[in-house]
Amino acid sequence: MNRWFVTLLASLGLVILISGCSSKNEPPKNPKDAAYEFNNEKSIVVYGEGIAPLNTVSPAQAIALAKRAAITDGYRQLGEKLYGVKINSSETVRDAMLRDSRVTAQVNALIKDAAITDATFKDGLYSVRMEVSMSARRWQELFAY
Amino acid sequence: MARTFCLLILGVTQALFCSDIFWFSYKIVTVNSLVIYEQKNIASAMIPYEGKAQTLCTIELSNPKNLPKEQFLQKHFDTILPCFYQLSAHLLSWDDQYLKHGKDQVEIVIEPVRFTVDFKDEFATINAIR
Repeated sequence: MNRWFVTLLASLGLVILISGCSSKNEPPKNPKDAAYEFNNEKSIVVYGEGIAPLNTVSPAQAIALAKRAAITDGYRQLGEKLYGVKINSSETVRDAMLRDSRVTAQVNALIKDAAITDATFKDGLYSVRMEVSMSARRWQELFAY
Repeated sequence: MARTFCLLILGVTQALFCSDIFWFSYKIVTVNSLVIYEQKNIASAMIPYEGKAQTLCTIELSNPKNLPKEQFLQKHFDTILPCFYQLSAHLLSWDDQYLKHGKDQVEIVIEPVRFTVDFKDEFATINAIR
């Protein structure tokens, strides 16, 4: 009986010891860190717009060219989101008046696996919806070489 | 005589091994959302290449008149172009704002890539070879 009691006490002690070790809480996750997780996929959606030129041989050619321009605009917007924009700006003020203002925005990008998910043409304006899914893993697969 | 023979062998070899592989590249420049320059290139590959095939797309396209493949592809360039958008596209953009004036120029280049086209029934499958 005494031996049973000692075994029970030893078991209880062991359980308390183990649970004491496991009760240590993990530090709370920073939501900003989650964005950099390797498999966390994010979809980037942009709407590119293109204008139908006036000096074309047929309406079909105008639409085709507007579509191309819209896709190009969509690509530019994707490039802006994936790589960022380089901005150069200069302003000249003389006698407390703005004399000259120049802003140059530049994008230099390499885009892979962009998909056109929707397209509409209305009032001479072609609009395309473009999408690219990106995660840290995907970024490494596509661009790290 | 020997030179002619060599050239003949070369020609036959090219026809046997390279006739089905083509090069594709594309460049477009737009200014203020209007296309000002477009360059469309499709050409037969001159050197045999054994690479890994990656299916780009299957589109509704057939060659009932049995035109030479290169000529047919050049004729239907606009149809097959969307298949290549998913490949690497280099993008250069300049947006210049000067007082009330603005000039927005975008340039996209799809790098040269080898590809094959397989016609089956009413469909064509385009594979990039890398």
